[in-house]
Amino acid sequence: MNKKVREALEKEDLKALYAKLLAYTTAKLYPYNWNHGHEGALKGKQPIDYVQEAFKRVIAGKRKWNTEKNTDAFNYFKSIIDSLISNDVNSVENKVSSSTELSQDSKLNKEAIKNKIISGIDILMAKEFEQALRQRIKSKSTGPDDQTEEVLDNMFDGVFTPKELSEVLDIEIKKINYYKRRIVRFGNEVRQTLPS
Amino acid sequence: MNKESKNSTNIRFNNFIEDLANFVSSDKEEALFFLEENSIDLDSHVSKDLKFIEDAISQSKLEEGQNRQTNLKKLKEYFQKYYQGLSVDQQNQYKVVFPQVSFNRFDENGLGPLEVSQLCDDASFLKYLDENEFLFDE
Repeated sequence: MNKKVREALEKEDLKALYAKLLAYTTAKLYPYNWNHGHEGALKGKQPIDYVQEAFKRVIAGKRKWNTEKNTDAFNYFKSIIDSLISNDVNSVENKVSSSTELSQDSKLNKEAIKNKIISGIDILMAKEFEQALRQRIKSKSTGPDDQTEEVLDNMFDGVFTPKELSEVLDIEIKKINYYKRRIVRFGNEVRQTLPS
Repeated sequence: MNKESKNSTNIRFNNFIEDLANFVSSDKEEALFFLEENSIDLDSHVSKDLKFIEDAISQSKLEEGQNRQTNLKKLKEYFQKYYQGLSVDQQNQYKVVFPQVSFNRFDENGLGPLEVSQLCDDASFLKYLDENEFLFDE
């Protein structure tokens, strides 16, 4: 291991770094592994596999970490994980588009598969998930002041940063985080009910 | 579903996932909450994997120490060879080096980690050689 990489890792709270990367990867893989145990688009690879692989690559020097340029360890490892996921997703997409079996399928089946894998996301499942999540939020509403759905809208639209959203909704960032935690919980409950 | 609608769903869902992933990894507490919600037992993974990382850090330190020791031995051998080729007057000029060499016990069987560490931190022996430009000028 490179001396600078070692020194950068020694500065980190490794357990915190690991927890954050595992949480990040688990969320990123939601669209590919809808249910636990379901193989999904990534052939059964679990979030932990990506986190381990990222560390192994840096330690073995397969990924050259310029610690002066990339001073934030979490962001650097996150970029490796994004790239590993993207490679796997692209490989699945290529396999589907070049499959000889696919060419023998009917046009209808081709369309169904195209619907299923676009950037690895199962579009129909994504729509179903969003609807179920919105219903869940409504059914668990704490009253007229509950702004969970507004926060969810912004998560889907990707328009405002948390700071901007806090200004638009006129609530504290702390409260936005509270609503996001609710969304995490409801989203997880909804995911468990969707068919694999 | 038409192409435009699929793309829109795709973008919206990617936004959601990106925001979610960034939120749950924004700090340790959020990450632990999220992992717990997903029934992921962090400790069962982390102990083995952190040991792997810590072992790699220790191994790297060990290798660096060994490389330092090898380099210092080479430098000393080079110095001795060079010294033998000098005239008596020139040798006298460099006699000031020897107390430092002896202090760091170069002439004993190998160097202990403490001696190597002291020598490297102090670097007086190498500095002297470098300043006198007889080590690297060939």
